[in-house]
Amino acid sequence: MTDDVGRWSDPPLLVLASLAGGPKHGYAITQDVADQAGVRLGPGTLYGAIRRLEDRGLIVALPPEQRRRPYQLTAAGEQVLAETATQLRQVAELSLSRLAARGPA
Amino acid sequence: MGRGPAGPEGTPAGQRDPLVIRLVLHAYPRGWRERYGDEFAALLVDLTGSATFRGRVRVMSDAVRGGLTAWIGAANGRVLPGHGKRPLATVACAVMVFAVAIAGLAKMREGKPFDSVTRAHVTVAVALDVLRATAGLAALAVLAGAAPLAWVVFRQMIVDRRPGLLGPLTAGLATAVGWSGAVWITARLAGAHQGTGPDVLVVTALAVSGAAAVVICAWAVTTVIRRMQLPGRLFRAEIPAMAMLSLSMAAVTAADVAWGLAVRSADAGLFNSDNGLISTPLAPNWAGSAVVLLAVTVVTCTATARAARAAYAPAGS
Repeated sequence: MTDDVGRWSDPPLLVLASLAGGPKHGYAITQDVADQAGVRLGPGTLYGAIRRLEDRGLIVALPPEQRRRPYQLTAAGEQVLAETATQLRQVAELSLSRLAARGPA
Repeated sequence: MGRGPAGPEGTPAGQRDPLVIRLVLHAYPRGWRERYGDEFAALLVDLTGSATFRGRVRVMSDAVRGGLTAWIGAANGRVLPGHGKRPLATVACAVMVFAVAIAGLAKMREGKPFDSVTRAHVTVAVALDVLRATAGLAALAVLAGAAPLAWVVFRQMIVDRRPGLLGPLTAGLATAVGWSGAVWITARLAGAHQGTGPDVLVVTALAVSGAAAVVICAWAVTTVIRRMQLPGRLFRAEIPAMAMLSLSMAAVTAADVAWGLAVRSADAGLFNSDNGLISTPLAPNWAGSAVVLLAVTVVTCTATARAARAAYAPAGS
């Protein structure tokens, strides 16, 4: 399941990370991802990710508020995000420690 | 509950979206538009409302690219969400119970007296032929449905190295082979004890272990189906096989009832057998088989109808 989310800056992972802070609609997700991760998700990219995550049961749609529909993480989504984030942290820590051991170039 | 920033003004209620947004929406498949169209249009309005010309072009080009991706995804067949696979798992479990009931029927009519009645009475012979033919059709339907699924599971297990498939698959196969072996050995032993009458203990042990085997196999199959990725196109291809299976099961049930009634009218004494260690030709067993077959048929028909609705529902609904 983790493989479905992708790695690093893949849109599904960014969407999961954004929704970990609470339910959000599309526009709020794009703003959050831009502010927190510095990645600008286009609307087609965002809804491609939302579709994939919803199909896999990692997020669920909430009742629409006017025309905007918020999404929230499911328990499976939380688990996948936790697994992926742990893997990424391990890679990041390994990379930083090895770079530090090499010293300045 | 915080939903984040509400976004710019958007399109006022009752007012249509700008033409360019409506055109971009038509880059997406209809099913996608029915599911996401309104919220997607609202997002486009939000993103383009205060954007520069370059920003609008970037947003719109990304939206069009997303439409192309959605079309490609629809052509490839979307992956079915977990709840969409439930009817398939239900039918798989029903097939197992059906197979056990058919095996019980085959066991029930073994022995020379049944062969004599079948030769002497055309109604018994016809009912038995229909039963065999429809059971064969059901087996063909199961093969037609299971073969592509098995291939996909095998591929995901070996090629994609998808985790969580090998364990339940091995457990299910080992259980099925183990129980079949136990039945085979018991049947060989029973052959040496002809005429001793039914042994309730042996029959009960086989029935209880058989029920446990069915439960384990059902768990294995439902787990594999839940964990595999099932493309929507493959799921749709399963529907004809499931429909054929439903019809075959209904025909088998009717043939079983007709066969039992024909046997009873030809020689009622046959259903009070005393011809072996695990003798089963008893009226309650025949009636029980008919009830089980009927129940399994109803479950399969209902699951097939649900699967057909899920398979042909608009994408995204």
